[in-house]
Amino acid sequence: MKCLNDIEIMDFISGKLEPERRNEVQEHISSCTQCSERVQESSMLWDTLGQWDIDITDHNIADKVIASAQESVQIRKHPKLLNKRDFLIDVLKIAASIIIAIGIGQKLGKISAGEKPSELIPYQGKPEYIAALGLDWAGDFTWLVMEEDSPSQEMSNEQK
Amino acid sequence: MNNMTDSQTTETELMRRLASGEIEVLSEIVKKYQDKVLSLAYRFLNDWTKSEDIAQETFLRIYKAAGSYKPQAKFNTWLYRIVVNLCLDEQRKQSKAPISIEEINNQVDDSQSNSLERKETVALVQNAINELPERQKLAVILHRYESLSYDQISEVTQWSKSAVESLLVRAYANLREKLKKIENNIK
Repeated sequence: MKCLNDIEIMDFISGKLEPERRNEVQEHISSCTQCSERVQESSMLWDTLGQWDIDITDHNIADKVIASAQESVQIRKHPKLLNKRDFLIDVLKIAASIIIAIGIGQKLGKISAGEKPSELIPYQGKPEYIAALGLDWAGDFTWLVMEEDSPSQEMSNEQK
Repeated sequence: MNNMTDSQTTETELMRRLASGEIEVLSEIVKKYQDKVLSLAYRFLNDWTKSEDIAQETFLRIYKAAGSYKPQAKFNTWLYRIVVNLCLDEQRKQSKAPISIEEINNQVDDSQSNSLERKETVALVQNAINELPERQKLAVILHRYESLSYDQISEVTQWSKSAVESLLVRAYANLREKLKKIENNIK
């Protein structure tokens, strides 16, 4: 039999060899000084490493895991009630977006009104919202907006 | 082999019950596996708080995945894979500096060690393992302390079997070198 390689020595020491192979290795070790020394060294290292045992007596996590799992079940069943903090954060995010949008809208509105003041002149004396909606006073579709309070209607109301 | 198959059947059944809403089954799983999970995480990270956090996260992931659990891989392998991935993530967040021997001496619980000599040996072993490169360290912990075979380590870590063998040979050679002093004292 050939001399043992490192893997075979590891398997021999860790007891992972099949019984038949184990006997062959055992036989070889008893007749080969070099392999015998290597096995002895590795065996000593194996035992030294084995002295590091871990005591987990004070580290029982079962209760914490169950509590977290139950909490996640509750959150799944009642997301709005139990996730108030996240809900509040979402509401604040939406509110902030609205405020920003209004601010930007107002700013852009001022700019566009400032740039084209002359466009309002032709509509003087006419309802301002017609100009604000960008409709032509004499346009084809203005009557749709003007239907309820058109000048003719106003006059008929005054006559009454 | 029969025992492993029986165990796998049991875990599959436990996962099925967990998926159907029997939350108390989770407690059974935790009690059965927390020793393995905590000791693996602690040996890798050397920090009980972080190890407990990782163990909790591992079992919560198992709970959340119960509905989609398919018993293709062994439950043990799947469990170890979750722990290993969480440990590697945590390790990468931590500083790379190896833990000092004084720090380890303080961590080694007196109840674990019968004598000062043993306490010192445990501290030296812990330090020697901590000084190994990440992959060698993980391979040694899974092989020496969790008794996994090369194939199982390969499945858990997703490294090839030959890579695992090579890592273990180098890791044990490094440890032999680092721990020569202790072995000479024992002789």
